[in-house]
Amino acid sequence: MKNRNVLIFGVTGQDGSYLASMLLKNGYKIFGISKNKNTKNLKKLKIEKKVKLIKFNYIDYSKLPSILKKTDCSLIFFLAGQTSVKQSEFEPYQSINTNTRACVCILEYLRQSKKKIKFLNAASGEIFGGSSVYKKFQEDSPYFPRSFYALSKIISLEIAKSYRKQFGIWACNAILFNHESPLRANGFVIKKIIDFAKTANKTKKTNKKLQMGNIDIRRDWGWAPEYSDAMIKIINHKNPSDFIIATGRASKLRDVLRKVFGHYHLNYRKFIKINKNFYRKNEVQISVGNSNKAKKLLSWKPKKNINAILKNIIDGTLY
Amino acid sequence: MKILITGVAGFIGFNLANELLDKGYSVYGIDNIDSYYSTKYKKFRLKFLKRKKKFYFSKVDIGDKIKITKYFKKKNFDYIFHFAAQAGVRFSNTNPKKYIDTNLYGYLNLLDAITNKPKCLFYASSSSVYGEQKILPVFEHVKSSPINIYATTKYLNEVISDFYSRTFNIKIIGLRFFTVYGEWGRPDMFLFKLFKSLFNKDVFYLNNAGNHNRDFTYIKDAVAIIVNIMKKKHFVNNKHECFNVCSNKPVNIKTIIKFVKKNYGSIRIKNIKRNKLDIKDTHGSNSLIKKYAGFKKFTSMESGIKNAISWYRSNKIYKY
Repeated sequence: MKNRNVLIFGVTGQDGSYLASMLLKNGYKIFGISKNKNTKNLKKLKIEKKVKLIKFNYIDYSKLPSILKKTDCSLIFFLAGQTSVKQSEFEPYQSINTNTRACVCILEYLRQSKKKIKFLNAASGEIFGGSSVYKKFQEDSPYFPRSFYALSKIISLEIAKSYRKQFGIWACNAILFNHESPLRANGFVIKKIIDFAKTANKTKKTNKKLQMGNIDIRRDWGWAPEYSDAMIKIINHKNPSDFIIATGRASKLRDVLRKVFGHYHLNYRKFIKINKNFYRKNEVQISVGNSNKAKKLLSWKPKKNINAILKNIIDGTLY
Repeated sequence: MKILITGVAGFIGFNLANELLDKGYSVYGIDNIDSYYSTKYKKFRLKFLKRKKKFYFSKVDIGDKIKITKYFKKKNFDYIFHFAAQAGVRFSNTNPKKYIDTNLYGYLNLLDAITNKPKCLFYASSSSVYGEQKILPVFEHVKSSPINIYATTKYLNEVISDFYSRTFNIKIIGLRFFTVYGEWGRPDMFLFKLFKSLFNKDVFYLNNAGNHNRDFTYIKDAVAIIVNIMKKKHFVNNKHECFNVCSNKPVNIKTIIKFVKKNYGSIRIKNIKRNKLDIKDTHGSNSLIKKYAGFKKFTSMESGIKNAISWYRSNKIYKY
C-alpha cells in the first residue's frame, strides 16, 4: 500500500491547519510539528483529534532526523518559522536561524536517507521586496529582501533549489503572497482591523483609535484555503518546481479599512489614527504576484476576491 | 589602521596578508585550519606570516558563533576581508552541509559579530555564481544561476551582503574570483595537481579530455586589485557592489598541459569523464574592475605559470 503519511511543520498555524484538514479528507495520515501545541486552529477545523502532534523546538534541529525517521512520511511540508516581518526585526539573527536551519536539516536527511520523499518549502512574496510601481513578480524576478524574514525565505528557497539541482532531491518551493482567513494569527493587519471594527461596532465609541502605519501600501491578498490547495497541487505535480501563488490583484490597505468599517456602516476615518512610528523602515509600496505558471501547469486559479475574503473573515467562515 | 583577514591560512587570504604586512599594515588573521587540504601546508603559510611584524593570528572558526562574537569584541576593524570559506565545487557532492555551515552561517555569524562600522567589508564570491552561460565574457549584471551548493552559498553571500549593506549602511564589496592561481596556491586545484604529477611522476587524471576554458587569474594581480581598492580615499557610495576578478583571457586546459609538458617534462595523463559539476567554460569581463581598481596590466599565463612552478619546486610543495 502506498505510504500516505504526511509531516507538516507548523501544523497549528493558518496554512498548516488548512492543509492538514484538506489532506485528511483525501485519506492521508497527518503528523504535525508545532513548537507550542496551540490547537486553537485545529479545533476550529475539528481535526485536533486526527492530527498527531509532535512538540518540537526549532533550535533543536539536530533532533529532526529521528523525528523524520519515526514518522516515515512520503510528503513533508515545511510551513514553520517566524512569519511576522515585524517580529523578525527584533531578533534578526534568531529569525534567520529558526527559519532556515530546520529546512536545511530536512534536505540533508532526504539526501542521506535516499528515501523517496517529496518536500515542499513555503517561501514568501516578501523575497521580491515589492516595488514603487505596479509590476507583477514572477518566479525568476530578482530578489530584493527588505527584512530578515524575507532574507531567511530566500536562503531556504535557494538551498532547496540547489539540493534539487545537484542531488535530484524532490524539493519544491511555494512562493506564497499574502493570504488571509479567520485562522490568521493575531497581529496581522487584516485580522487586526476586523477585530477592531467588530468592537467599535458594539461600543460605537470613537475615543479609542486603531493605530495604523502607512495605509496607502498595496498588497496582493488571497484566500488562505486556496493557497493550501495550491500547495497540494505543487507537491502532486509530476516534477518538482517553484511556483508563485498569488491573486495577481493588489488592494490598498485604505480600501480594506473602508470596506471593513463600511460593513458595519462606520466611517473608518473616525476610528483610526495614523502613527508614523508604525511606518516600517523599507516598507514595500506595492507587492503583487503573477501566478501564471501555477495556472498553466497546475490549473490553479484564485477564486475569491478581496470583498469575499473580508466577508468570510468577518463572518468567521472557514471555507 | 586595523585589518582583519578571515581564512588567512588559505590561498588568497594568505597572499593578501603577506602583501599588506610587507606594506607595513597591521593584520589580524583568523582561520580554523581545517583539513579540507593539507593542514601542514596551511601551517607552512602561517609560519611564513608569523615571521613578520604586526601579524596577529587567532585560531577561530567562523562557524562557531560564540567564539567569533567574542573575537570581534572591541576590535573595531577598519577593513575586513572575508575569505574564509569551504572552497571547491566537487567536494560539495559529498559534503554539502559543510558549505552551508561555513559559507552561509559562518558569514551570518561574522556579520552579526561586527559591532562597529568598518570602512569596507570585502568578501570572496566566485565565478561559479554565473553557472553555465551562453554569452561570454560574462558581465557583472547578468543574472546568477548557481548549479551546485558551493555556488549557491556564494550567491547567497551576495544576497545577504546586499541586504546588510542597505540595512546598516555599510560598504560591502563582493569579489567574484575566476580560477585564481600562483605562488602559495591551492593543492586541490588543477594547476597544483598537475605540478604534483609532474614532480612526483604520478598519473594525472584529466577530466573531459581537458576540454574546458578557464579564465585564469594570477594571484599577484588579484592581490594588487584588492589593495588598490582598499587604498581608495573614499567610496562614492555605501552600496554593495560585485566585481569580476579575472584576466578576461580564457585559456584551454589542454593548452596549459602542453605548455607545462614542453617546458618542464612529461606527465602521464589518464582521461576521465567530465564531472557534471564543472562548468564548461569560464570567461569574465574585467572592464568594471579595471576601472574601479585602476589596474590595467594583467600577468600573462606563461609568466604566471613560470613563477608558480619555480616557487613550487624550490619549496618542494609536491611533498605536501
